[in-house]
Amino acid sequence: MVAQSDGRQVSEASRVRTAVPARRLRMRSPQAPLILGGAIAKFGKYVDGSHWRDRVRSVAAEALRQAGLEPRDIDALVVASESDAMSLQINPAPVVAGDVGLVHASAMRVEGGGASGAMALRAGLLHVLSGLASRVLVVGFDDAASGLSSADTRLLYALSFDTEVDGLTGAGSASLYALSMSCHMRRHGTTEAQMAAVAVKNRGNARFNPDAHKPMDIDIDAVLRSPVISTPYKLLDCSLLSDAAAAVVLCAPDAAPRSERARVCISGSGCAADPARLGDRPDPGRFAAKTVAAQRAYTMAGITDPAREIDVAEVYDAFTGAEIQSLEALGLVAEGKGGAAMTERRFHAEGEVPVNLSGGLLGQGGSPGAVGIAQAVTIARLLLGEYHPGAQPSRDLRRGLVDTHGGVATLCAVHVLERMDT
Amino acid sequence: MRDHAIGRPTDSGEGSDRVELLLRLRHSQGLGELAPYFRGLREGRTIAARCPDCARTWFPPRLTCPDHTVAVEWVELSGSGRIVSLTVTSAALPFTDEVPRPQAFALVRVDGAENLALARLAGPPDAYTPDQAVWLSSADNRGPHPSQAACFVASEAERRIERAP
Repeated sequence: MVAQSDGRQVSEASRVRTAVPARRLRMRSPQAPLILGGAIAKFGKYVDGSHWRDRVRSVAAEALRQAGLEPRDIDALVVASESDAMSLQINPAPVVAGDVGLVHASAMRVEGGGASGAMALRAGLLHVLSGLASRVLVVGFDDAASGLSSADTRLLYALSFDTEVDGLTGAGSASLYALSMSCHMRRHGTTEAQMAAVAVKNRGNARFNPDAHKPMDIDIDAVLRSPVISTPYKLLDCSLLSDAAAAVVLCAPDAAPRSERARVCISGSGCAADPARLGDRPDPGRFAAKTVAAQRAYTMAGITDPAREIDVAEVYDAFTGAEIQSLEALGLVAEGKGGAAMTERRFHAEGEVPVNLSGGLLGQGGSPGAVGIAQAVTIARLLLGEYHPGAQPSRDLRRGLVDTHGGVATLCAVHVLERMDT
Repeated sequence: MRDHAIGRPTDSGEGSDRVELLLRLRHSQGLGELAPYFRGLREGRTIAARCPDCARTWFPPRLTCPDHTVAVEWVELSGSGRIVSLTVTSAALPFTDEVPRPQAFALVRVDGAENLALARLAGPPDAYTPDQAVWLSSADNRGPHPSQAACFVASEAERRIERAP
C-alpha cells in the first residue's frame, strides 16, 4: 500500500495505473512502416516429402524479390511459430536466418498461440518504429496438419489456455470457445443458423483462393447437419488445421527502394490481453481485450468510426461464432447484432465490409505461425487490387484490418493497413 | 504481390520422403501456490482465495487481487453453485485411456465467488441445463491431473466429500 497526499491508502497497482498513462503513438503516413513484399505458401496438408523449412525459404525469397531487396539488405528477422512440438525446432530464428541467406541479422522468435503470426508482425513493426532496424523480414509457419495426430494436436492446443486450471480439464479448445459463444447466444439471442452463415460465407470465399486448404460450396443446412464437436459447434463451424508459411518485408519509408507503384503501409497496431481463464472475465461471451486492442490500433491510425472507415477485413474465425464475437469487438457491428448482420450478408463479398475474402481459418486454413502474416499479405493484395481474380472486389479498397488472437481472444492483436498512392 | 507455393499439399504421402518419430515425454512439476486449491478438488472441497483487504473471493483462486497487492488467504466455500454456460462434447479426458463419451463441461458460478469455474459435470449430459444448481464433488474423480477433478453433480444427495486423513 502507498499513502497518498490526502492520507488515503491506495494499492501500488492503482498508483502505477494513474501515474503512468500509456503513451499513444499516432502514426502519420510518412512514418508508417511499409509492406514492401509478401508471400503465402498454399495452406494444406503436406505429406509429399516437403518440410516446413522449404515453405519458409520459399515465401521469404518471394517476399524479398517483391521488395526488390537481397538478404544482405535485411537488418532483422522475426520468426513466428506456435509450437516446438509441431516443428521439432527450438530456437528456429537462426535456422531460418541461415536458410534464407541472412548473415548476422538480428533474429528472434515470437509466440502468442494463435496470434503468433500477428505478434511477429507487431514485433517487426516495433523494430522499424523504434529505429532498431530499417528492413525487417517477418516469417511465420506451423505444420498443424501433417506433423501430429489430431488427438495430439488437440492436447497441445489445450496448453494455450491456463494449462493448470483450465487447459487440462479435458474441455479443450472447442469446448472453451463453445462455452464463450453460449454466453453470447443467451445474452443476445444469436442462433446456430446465424453462426452457420459464417461457415457458408468463408468456406465459399475460399473457392476463389488457390492458396486455400478446403474451399467448399455448402449451405446452412449442411453446417447444421455436420457432426457435433462441442455444442453448439458442429464440425463445419470449426476451423482447419493446416500446414502453411507466410512472409512479409517491413521497411522504414526512408529505407525503401524507390518505386512508382502504390504501396501499403501499416498505420495502426494494437495489442491487449484478457484473463486466460474464461471464468475470470466479467462477460465470458464478450471479446473485451479485442475491443481494447482495436481501439489502440484505430487511435494510432486516426480511425474514429471503424464501421465506415474500414473497407475490408481478415478476422480471426477459429470458430464461426468467434467471427461474430470478433466483428462486434472490433466495432464493425453493434454488440449483439453480429448474428443478424451475418444473415443480412453485410460481411459477404458484396456487403458493406467484406470479411475473410481469403476464406479465413475456416476455408483458407489454420496454421498459427502463418495466419496473422498471411492475413496481412491478403489485405495488402486486396488494397493494391492484386488479389485473386474472383475474390478481388470491383470497388476501390483503401483501408483494411487484420485481426488475430490466441486463446479464446485472450491475446489479441489488431493491425490497420492502408494503401499509399504515389 | 503474387501467389507463391512450394511442395504439393495432398492427402496421400505414399512413396514420399517422410520420417515418423514417436515422442514419449514424461513430465513432472509442482502444483505451486495453487496446491491448496488442487488438494481441495481431489477431496471435493471448494478451496477459494480471498483478498484480505476487500474480501473479493475467487474460485478457482486468483493469487493476486487486481486492486490490492497483498497475499490472498484461503477460505472454504460451501461448494454449491449454478451453471452459467454449458457445452456437451465427446472428448476423452487427457492422459487417460478412456473411450470418448458424451460429457458436459460448464462454467459454474460457485456461491461466494465472483468468478466462474470451468468444470466437468458428472454423469449423462442431459441431466443439466443452464441456471441449474450444482455441487462440487469428488464423485467422478478421474484423470491424473488434479484440474480433472473439478467436477460438479446435479444434486446435493449425490455429493461426495473425502476429507483427507
